[in-house]
Amino acid sequence: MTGTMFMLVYFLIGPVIAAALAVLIARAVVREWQGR
Amino acid sequence: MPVEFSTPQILLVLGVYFVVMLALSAWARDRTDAESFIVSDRDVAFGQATASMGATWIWAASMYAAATAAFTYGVSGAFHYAFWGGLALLFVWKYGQRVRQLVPYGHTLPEFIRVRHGRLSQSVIGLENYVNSQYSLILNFTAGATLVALFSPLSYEWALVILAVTVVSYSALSGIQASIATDVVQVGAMVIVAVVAVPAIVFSAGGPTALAEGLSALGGEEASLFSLQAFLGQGAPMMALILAYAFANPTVWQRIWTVRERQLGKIYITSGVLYMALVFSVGSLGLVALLTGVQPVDGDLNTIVPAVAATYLPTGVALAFLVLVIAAITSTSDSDLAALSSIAMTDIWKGYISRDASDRGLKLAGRLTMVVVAGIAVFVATFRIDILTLILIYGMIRAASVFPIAASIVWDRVSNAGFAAGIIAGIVAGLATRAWSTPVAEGALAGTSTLSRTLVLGAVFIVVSSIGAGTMAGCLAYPFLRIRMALGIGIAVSVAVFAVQVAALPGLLTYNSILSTLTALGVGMLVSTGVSLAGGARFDWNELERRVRPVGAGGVA
Repeated sequence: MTGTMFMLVYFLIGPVIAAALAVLIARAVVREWQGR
Repeated sequence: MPVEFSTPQILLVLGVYFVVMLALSAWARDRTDAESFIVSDRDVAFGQATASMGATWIWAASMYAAATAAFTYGVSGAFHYAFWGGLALLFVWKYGQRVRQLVPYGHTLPEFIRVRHGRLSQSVIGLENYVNSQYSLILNFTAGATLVALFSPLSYEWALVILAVTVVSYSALSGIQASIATDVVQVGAMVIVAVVAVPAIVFSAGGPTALAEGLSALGGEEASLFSLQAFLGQGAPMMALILAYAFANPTVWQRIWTVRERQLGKIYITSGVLYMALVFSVGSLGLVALLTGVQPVDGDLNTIVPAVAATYLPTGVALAFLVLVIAAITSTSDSDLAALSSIAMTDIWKGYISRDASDRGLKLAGRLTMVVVAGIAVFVATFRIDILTLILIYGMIRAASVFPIAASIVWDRVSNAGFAAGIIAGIVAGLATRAWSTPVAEGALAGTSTLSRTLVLGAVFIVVSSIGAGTMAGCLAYPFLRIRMALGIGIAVSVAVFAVQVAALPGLLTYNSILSTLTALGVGMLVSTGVSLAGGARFDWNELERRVRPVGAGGVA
């Protein structure tokens, strides 16, 4: 892996995982709040 | 000073934040009894529960310390902080699940310990939980007020009061229900900033190519993902305390009884991974600072994240970063207030003062507790009282109680005397190690210590701390494996850590905090097991469910 690629993965892995989990959680929250 | 927001700007942000949180709390308040103030309806589902646990677990120190670790140790620094911190949630839920099955109507860990062991043991764990959350409140208030004062003309004291009043106001409205509803929005704010602002900063700072050039110029341990220096300085002390972080934290336990039981594992695992992703994202900005030469404001390492944000982002987005930190701070503080009020209502008010307490009386006790503990936090933060000694003792309680708590949940042989003796002996041993291990190592190095003293004390520290490392490994493994395998892992880790310590003599003896933590863990396990087995008692698990009922008008403890 080149240095540039390493840096790209290093800085984007956190935001990408956070975004994926946020979508999962947000969909669930919307369903739960609709049921109130 | 890279940027300073004006007083109207900062007051507008804090004011809007206050109103939104208060409105959310009022909206979330769909039940008004004392039981709901503590555990909502005991059926909070995946989305809200995960957002709440994630937001609560991320406190001011997570952001600051991860960035500081990256600034200090390079690429592996933020990883160590985020990974081990998040792992605590991934390991604690099995113990939580077992406790929830044993006492379905429980509220707090001290309450469980009271019915499992008795009042002495309950007091020890109650004290541990209290110190944990009181310290967290002090640290979060201090961090928030320092930041606001640093980046605006508002004074530190005023910022402190505004933060405290904001958190107490909405938390007192509906307890855990307020905490959960506000956590959802707060974690949303954190995600937006991490997902949008962190990549924006990286590209504004020159992008991956420029940062890669900076990294190759840096070289050495700072450029390595496997830096030994970072592991010993940052990773190992956190590894040694993985379970202790979660066991000592009343906000984790309150949610064990608050969330939907069958989703418990999914909730804790997802929130642990969310913690890792968010904290790593923000922490990685410490590396940006290191690679691009951004310096912390006034040399204070806690300002790295906002300093990087203010350097590479326009003022409006930098202001959003401030909201991120405030969201992280208040989401943890409201959970600490809710958790401490639940202990006050369940363990103190109902347990000692009024066994037939009404809903109204219980909720009043809970709200007064919030005001008092927030007041103490502001007082200590204002006068910057040195609480180091308190924290030192607390750290030892936390380590010493890992095995007694874990064993009390799964092993019927642990007795009240074994529980209390294990924790007390562990604390004493940990403090003694802290006081003596460095002089012993230095004496051996300088040749001023007698050989027998060095050998005896050094051997005791090394053997017991190695057993402590094995104890933690065994406690982590047990809920997921058979007892024999967990024991095998514990013994293997003890032997491996012993071998490493002997090979590296006397070097590791000077790593005072890891050594004393592990010693407290090891002694806690040895004494707790010894005293319990000598007593010969066996606990009847069926006793538990009958002895814990809902609080308030409907429940009789």
